[in-house]
Amino acid sequence: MSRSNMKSVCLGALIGVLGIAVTAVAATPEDTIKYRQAVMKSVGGHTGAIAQIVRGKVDHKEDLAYHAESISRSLDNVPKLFPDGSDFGETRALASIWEKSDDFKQKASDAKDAAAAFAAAAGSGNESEIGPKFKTLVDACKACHKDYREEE
Amino acid sequence: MGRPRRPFRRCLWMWLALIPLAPSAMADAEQVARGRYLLQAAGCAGCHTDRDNDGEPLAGGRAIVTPFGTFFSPNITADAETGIGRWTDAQFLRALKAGIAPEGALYSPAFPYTSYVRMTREDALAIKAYLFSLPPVAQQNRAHELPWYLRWSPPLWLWRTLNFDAGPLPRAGDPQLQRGAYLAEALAHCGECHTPRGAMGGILDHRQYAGTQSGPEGKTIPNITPDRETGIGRWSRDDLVFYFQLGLTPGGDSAGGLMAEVIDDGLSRLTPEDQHALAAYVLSRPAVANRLQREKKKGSRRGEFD
Repeated sequence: MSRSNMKSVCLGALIGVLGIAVTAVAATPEDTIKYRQAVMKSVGGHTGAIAQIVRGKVDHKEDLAYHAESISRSLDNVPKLFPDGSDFGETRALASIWEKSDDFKQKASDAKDAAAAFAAAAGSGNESEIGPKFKTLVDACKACHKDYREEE
Repeated sequence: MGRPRRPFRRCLWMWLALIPLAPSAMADAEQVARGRYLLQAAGCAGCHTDRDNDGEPLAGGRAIVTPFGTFFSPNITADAETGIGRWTDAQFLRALKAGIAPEGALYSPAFPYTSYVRMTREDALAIKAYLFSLPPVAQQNRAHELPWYLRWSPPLWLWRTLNFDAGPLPRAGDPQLQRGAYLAEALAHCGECHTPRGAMGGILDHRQYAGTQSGPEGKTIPNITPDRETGIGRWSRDDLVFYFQLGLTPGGDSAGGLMAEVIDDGLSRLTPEDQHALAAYVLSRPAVANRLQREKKKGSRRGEFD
């Protein structure tokens, strides 16, 4: 294979890969669920890390704002993670998400606001705000998981 | 000579009349406040409030789905007609600690009298005093939806004979562990969900807190013994106290479902001393290796996939 041929094959492959990203994606329910679980797991990971910091178990205060910002970005549009038809298979998402969708969206929006407020507190380094805003955020997680996630 | 004394005497009588009232009114208020705390620790409002339908607190009507049928919790507000407003102390104690209703019928095992039996008389009556201090709510009880063979009382009596142990809590040497045991076994009734049951529906004591795949509402209930691999053996006591306070696991997951209710309405409201006592007790239990797996696949409610 000549060098120029190789180049065009590579380019073709790259465009093929990029093509997935630039054209609209018709995600299968399975893929949606995998993505959703990965996002939720990452939120849990950041939340667990923050808990260790705010409880004074570790000295990583400089990373607080990063963890908080990541959560805030991930919770920016929770309902988008739960499209119609993604309620079966390997998921703990309960049917009530779609049955009581107004309430679900309200709780998702509360979580988004709580995450943004916590990120603001963490970013400003205002220590007296950080604890209470973190509690509000965890309460918002819990409020949604109480009604809309199957127990493990 | 008597004249100048008279106002004093009148005063004295007034004071005498007040003396017996003041301390008892204070004692009542104290008892009610203690009852409120105990009611939260015992998780009464969880089952006795129909939160899915925005029901009045403690007025009952919540559906409790079990493998034996659907139970509807009764109204435990002080309403005379539909609640427990006419109950005497003796009737209340018999209901709470022996599972027997005032008219003699036996309550179903969905009501954890098997745990409440270990509650002291004083604590039980403080809960009653608190319930009677709240505004009564008129709400008729709803009949349970059970298979025919359970609408009949002999199976319940048989179950009670096999599974009801009226014995007190075993004594622990350490006062903190003793308090923790009381909180866990008499009030919060952790074992009613977290301890697996045998074929006859009785709690398997040797598997205490080992978790089960057939918990209330058909849920998988986690192993909370200190087993490192399958339980919470990697949690420190601080981690567990933090979980009671915020509902956040060391891994960063939040509590959900029934446990989120237990935390919000009960464990998070305990004093830090009680939270530490409860955590110390739970982590003092024997480790049991029991890995639980959630049913992985569920069918679509629309039947699109299998």
